Amino acid sequence: MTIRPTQGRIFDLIRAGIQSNTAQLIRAQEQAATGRRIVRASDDPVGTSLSLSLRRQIGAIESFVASTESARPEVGQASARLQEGSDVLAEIRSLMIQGMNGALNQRDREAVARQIELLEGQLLEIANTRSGDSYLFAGTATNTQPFVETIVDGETVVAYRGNDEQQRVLSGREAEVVLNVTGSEVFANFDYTGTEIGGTTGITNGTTADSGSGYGRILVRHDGTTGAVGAGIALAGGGDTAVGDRTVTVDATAGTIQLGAGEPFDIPTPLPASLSVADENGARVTFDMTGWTGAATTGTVTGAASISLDGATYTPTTLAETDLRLEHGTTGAVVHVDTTALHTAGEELLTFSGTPSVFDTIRGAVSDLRMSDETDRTEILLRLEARLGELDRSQDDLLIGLGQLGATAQRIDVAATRLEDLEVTVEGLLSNVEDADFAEVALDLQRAEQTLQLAQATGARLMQQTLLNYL
Amino acid sequence: MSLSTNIGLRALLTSQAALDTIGHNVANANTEGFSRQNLLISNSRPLNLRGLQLGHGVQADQVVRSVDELLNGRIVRQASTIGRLDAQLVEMQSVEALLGEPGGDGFGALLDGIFESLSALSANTEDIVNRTGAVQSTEDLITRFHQVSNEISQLQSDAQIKAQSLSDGVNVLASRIVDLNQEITQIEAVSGTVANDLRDQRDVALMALAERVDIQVRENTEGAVQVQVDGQLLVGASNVHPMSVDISADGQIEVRLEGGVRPVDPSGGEIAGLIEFSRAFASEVGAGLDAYALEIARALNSAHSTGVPLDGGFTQLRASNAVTDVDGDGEVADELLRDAGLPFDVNTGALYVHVIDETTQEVRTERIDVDPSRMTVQGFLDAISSIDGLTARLDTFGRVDIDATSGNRFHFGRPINSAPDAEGTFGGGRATTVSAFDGPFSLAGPATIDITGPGGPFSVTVDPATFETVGEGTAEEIAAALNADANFTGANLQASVVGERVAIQTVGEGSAESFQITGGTALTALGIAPGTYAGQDLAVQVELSGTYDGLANDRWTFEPLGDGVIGTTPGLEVAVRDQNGAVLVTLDVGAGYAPGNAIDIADGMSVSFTVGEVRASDGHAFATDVIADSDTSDVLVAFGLNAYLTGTDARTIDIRDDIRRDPRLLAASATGAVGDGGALLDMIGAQSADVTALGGTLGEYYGEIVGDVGFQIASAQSAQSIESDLMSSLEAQREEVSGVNVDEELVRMIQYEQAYSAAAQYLQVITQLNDTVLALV
Repeated sequence: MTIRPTQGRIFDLIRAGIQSNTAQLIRAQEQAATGRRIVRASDDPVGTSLSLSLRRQIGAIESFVASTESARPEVGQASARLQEGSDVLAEIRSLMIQGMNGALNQRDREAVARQIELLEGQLLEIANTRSGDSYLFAGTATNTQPFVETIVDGETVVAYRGNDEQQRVLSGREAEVVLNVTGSEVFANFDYTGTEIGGTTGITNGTTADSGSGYGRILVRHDGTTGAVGAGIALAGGGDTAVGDRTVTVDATAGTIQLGAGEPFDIPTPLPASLSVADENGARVTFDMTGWTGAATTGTVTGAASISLDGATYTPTTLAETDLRLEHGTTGAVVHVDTTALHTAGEELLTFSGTPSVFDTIRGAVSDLRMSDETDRTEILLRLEARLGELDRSQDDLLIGLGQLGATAQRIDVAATRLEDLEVTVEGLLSNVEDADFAEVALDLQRAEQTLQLAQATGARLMQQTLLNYL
Repeated sequence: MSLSTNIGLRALLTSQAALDTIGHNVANANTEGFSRQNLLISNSRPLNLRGLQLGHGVQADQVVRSVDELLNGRIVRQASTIGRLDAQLVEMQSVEALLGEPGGDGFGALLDGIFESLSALSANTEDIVNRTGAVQSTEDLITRFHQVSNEISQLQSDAQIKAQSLSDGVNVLASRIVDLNQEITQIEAVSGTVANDLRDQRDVALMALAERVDIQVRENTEGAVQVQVDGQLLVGASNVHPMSVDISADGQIEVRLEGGVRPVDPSGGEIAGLIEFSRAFASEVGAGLDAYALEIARALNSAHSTGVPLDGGFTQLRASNAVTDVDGDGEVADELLRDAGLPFDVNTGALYVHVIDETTQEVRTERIDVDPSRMTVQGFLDAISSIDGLTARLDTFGRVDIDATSGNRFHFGRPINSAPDAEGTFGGGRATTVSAFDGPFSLAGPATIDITGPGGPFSVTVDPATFETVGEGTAEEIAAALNADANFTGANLQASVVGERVAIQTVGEGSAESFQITGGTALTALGIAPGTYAGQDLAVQVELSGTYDGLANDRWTFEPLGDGVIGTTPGLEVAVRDQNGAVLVTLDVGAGYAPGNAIDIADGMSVSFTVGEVRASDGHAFATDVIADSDTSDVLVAFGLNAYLTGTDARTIDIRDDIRRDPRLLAASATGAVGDGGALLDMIGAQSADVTALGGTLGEYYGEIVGDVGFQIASAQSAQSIESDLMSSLEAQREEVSGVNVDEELVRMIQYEQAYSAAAQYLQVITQLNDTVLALV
């Protein structure tokens, strides 16, 4: 309580009152104009800290969105390309089945082979798809063309040059999403299950495990036939494929010659200088019949052979090895074979099952289809069937890859949705902390205005009061 | 009769003096610092006349000002307090505005922007647009750091300029006080009255002085005041000790008074507010931002330094931090790594260096063990230079410079060595024997190994005298000793290292190769068994694949548990041991295993073996390093090798210059493959990782800085509001005592006007009385 009021004091009070009320009015106006409760840190330091921490959360969420969103187009593209690849494979498969039709002649098969070749080119293009500058199916070696045609051992094959690594992005704290499927997974999956030997020469698997990949050939070279038949029949040489001992039986009465348990063969007249006789396995020995006395005879002829995996190094066989090691000089593939049942010289298709790339399989099928009519049809069928099995495996790999990409796309979607939800929640919290409550601001504004008016009115009245009015 | 006239005259004069005083008060009703004056009047001494005590009228004694000196003293002190808060608050609010928080464009948002652009890049590491984006967003943060740190320095130097101009004002006021002192003492001594108005003026000057700097005022008996600042004399009886403001050696504002031996440290007034702002607040915020910048650099560099740029490695790399000659002996390279003046600490740990042959793409990995309290800078350079294909030196500025020889590239990433058995010590083609256990091997003195090679028997002596640790040989040392022996190499033998074991092998491969160990004194210590060892034609090829996601670096040793052929021998197993010798996993590679197929080991890694024979009896084994962090020593960060950010505080932090020019140098890959974003993921990890030095994440630390600024300003604001309230209450009190109430003065004016009229009337009566008497004459 002021004991001794003075005019100066009254004016000071009026001034102070108007000033503090105007300041409140300005503060309320600032909140209304910016829409924010906290304009500067000192307005509410605790709120500011909270706001910063919420903004950090939004920042972190936005990082995750940035990575998953920038990953999305590539995942989509990869997925679409694999779908195309799967369609191409289905078409190749139906063409291969068409090619297995026994009614087709060599020209028809050539037409099928050409179509398959075109499709294979398309598949190769898919496998080498680029998104921007980076290859989609090269693992993390995205600057390297993953599937390249190279010449191995005189044959053009498709080699994988990418790596097996996964591209990852963070989809949340400590949470990673794998973006890619590698080319090796979908087009050249290595899941070795054993070595398959085609089976026309009689060679079987040895006891020791093998290692290698893709396809190969086991070459059984005929190294000459020895032995005597008798009755003036000589060995003509040339075109012999029978390996090991064979009994030759000449039936003078029927006028036939029989090799092993094969069909007896009519000996034509005039006596030929070169008569090729096949045994029950189709293994042949050629005889010179010109010196035949016409008598019946039984003799034994023996075919020698050597075996090779690469066509360069041949190992002579005793036909008694149960575990003969063959090595490919270029690829390093190792195959162990059992030669005890070897009966015919020739070429075996060797499949390291579960390892050929889809391109190996298709190219193999093409070359099978191009085999001449002279080749045994069964052999072509056998080969194509083996290829078909591998093609189905490749199709499966591709579908698995497609599934993975689908799952990744879904994870990205889920992550994006979750992040959006979180962002909305956090932004709501942020708004609670930072933003002005408009109803409150309006009330504040009104209150400040009224108080100011009151201060002005009373001040004005007070200022007029002086004794002078009455003197 | 003259008595009566005298009484009348005095009454008239006194009323007039009273009216003068009232007029003076009314005139100065609005004058600042004016104290209401009063005329003190009393009745005059009576006269003894005619036996009567006759009153002798009224007399004006003195004009006094109505003032409470103690209250004035409190107001002066309060003015200092408010001056300090006001000055401080204005400056602090500039800093607050500079930080721009909370809002979308402060440091926090810019740092998050970097992480966002790095995240976008991590999904598409080759994309040059994303790379430029990452560099650009970093540039935004850097620019902000530079701008804010400059602005804070600017605010500090502005504060100094303001303090200087305030001190000029202080000196003017001080001279004025000295002048007033002189006038007051003179007037009061001569007239014996109080110099009311001059004292009011001096009070006003003291008040103005107190607003600028807090003062202690003492009045002497003559009425002069002495003014002290922080115990030093500013205003003496008749002289001024002028104030000067300078910048001290440590860049702070320094206030001195002439003749003072030490600088004064005012605790109030605007000058104190400016000093406090500059010395405490701005410095603290500046230091906080410096630490923030330093830790951002450390966090990003620590992930980036082990990354690999887009072109797969470096041919040349220059460090950004220079080594300094801390011990001052003129030699820089002899400093220990822990005291080499580097901005970041080096820890005890390992650094993996990979050298890539550009033709064969073969990767050689070397591990350098770093102990900062033992390894010197030169030791580090030597360790790098000892790696085939690399040379390291210090440039003229003391920065490490690493060059790859032609045809080589290098990096510090964590590639997977897909062919870990380069020497073929695990079922390879060479005749091989390997120690049965890990080194170091204890050899007390020279020891022998007796070998029979193709040329006949010989003996190799290993002399432990040359080893680093006396009596103990590491696998490397023993292998080197063997390879240095002419008989040994002459017999076409070679020694190599398998993890921490020694392998003795023939140089040639195949079943024709063999050697025999017949005895020797070193065999037991080395874990090598005597026997005949033969090579084989079918060599096992080992291939390692996957991404190592274990938490720590490790060295895995693979050894067969028995003799047999991969994929064939029933029950054949391979044990994988970690670096402590514990079995991590046992792999089944016997019958049923299809050679070439990958088998999972652990931590995201798998291995495949091709067909061939492995023999535990020959000690067959191979070892490989799996790397989670290729620089646990942080030596790269300390030297600033392959840094992303250079500089050590808010002012100097910057993007490495060549990365700014060529964003392809941003080391995104951890393995070296261009599509890998491992290093980026580590960099992004810094967003949520705790930083030991900051006691929280980078973001949390920044939140603390901003929160602290907010708190300090808010508390200064509330202090200012409290102190202002106190001031206005003190001023109200002063107004009560010294203020002029015009109405009151008007009342008194009328009172004295009437008294004057009465006195005049009285005089007239006396005059008439006189006339009456004169008429009698």
